Amino acid sequence: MAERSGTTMALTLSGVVAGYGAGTVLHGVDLHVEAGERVGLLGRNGAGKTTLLRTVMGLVKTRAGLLRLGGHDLRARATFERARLGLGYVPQGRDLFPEFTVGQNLLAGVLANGRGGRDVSAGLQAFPWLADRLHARAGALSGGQQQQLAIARALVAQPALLMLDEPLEGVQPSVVDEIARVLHTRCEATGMGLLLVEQNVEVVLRLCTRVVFIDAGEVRECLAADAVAADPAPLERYLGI
Amino acid sequence: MSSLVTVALDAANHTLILMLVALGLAIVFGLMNVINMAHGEFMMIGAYVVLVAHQAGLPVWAGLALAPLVLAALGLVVEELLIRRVYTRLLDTILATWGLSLLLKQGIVLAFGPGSHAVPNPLPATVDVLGEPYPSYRLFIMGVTLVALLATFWLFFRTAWGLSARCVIANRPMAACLASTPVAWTA
Repeated sequence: MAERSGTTMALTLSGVVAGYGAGTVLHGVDLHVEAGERVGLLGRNGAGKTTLLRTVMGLVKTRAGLLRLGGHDLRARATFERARLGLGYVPQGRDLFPEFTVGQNLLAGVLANGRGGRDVSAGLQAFPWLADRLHARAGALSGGQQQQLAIARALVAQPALLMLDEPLEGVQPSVVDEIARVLHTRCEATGMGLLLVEQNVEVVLRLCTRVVFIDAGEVRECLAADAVAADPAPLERYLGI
Repeated sequence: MSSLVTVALDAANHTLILMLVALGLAIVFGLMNVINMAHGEFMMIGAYVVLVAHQAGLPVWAGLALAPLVLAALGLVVEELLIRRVYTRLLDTILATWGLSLLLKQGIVLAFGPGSHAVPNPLPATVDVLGEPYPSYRLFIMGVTLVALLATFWLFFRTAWGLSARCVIANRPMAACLASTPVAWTA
């Protein structure tokens, strides 16, 4: 695990171009996430936030530019190898395995990451109620519970950088607070980095130290979360709120 | 009554053989997203491995043990040379494996001629089933098939590897994001 340890797992995108079919969504994205840094990604619908995360995971092909995690050239790596390097991903819509049990979904998070373990305690620690529902079908859980399970499934692999795509979408306020608290605790305790795409600006400003505004497939501005909280003008500029 | 037993055993025999054949097809399609039109030819080559082993003076049992190993090696070579190049293009996998099937079939005809061949039955005796004599080799095949089906079930539903494989089958991109190594997934 030497290659995962230390402070070298910074994520760097430089001039990244990516898209689907004939269409280009990302027109040269420059972004740097320090190891352990918590970055919020804000932008309008269609700005390219989801595509950016999918490109980092290798679900969308990088057409041009530099994509690195620590000393590793991610473009040369398949999705599963990127996951093993320490990238965790909770996609929009969660993508749980609905027919599998809660326990199996958690196991799926650790089984293949190359450490040969079956230890899902990191996920159970984050959301202790999961321990009582291990044998329930994941598809039978409520939306908020499924969201927590998806996050737990990503946490069991103990990623160096966790990327979340709208994890609070359609989740009731009390659960929003719970998820935000868990993520915060987890980052503080383990030095895990965060790349968070989320519409709930208030939570983004609470969780993240830096906010990146993306528009039309390009990064427009990077600001400290404190600065945005103090002066929300950029929110109006880039989100229209 | 007596013929009923034979008919039932024959039906079970054929059903089990088809299940065994279909099992391989289903796993290859589920895990690799490849419809292997050459699946039947792989079966055929297995039979010819037994034939060649017999002609080389080996016992039939040795040929039967050898056939899956030879086929596994052939599968690896085919994956490396052919399938690897057409992953993610489902229609092309059908065309490519269809081509492979023609190649294998004609190759066997060139090497062994178009006629049929036989190897001696390693279990020529019959066993009485409910008073009806039934060939023991057929019963042996049914036993092997049942063991193979149960072993496959155990592998896929009771082991960590199986869970990982089922994740790939259920949701290939997400399984890759969880570091599962689906053979077919390249970014």
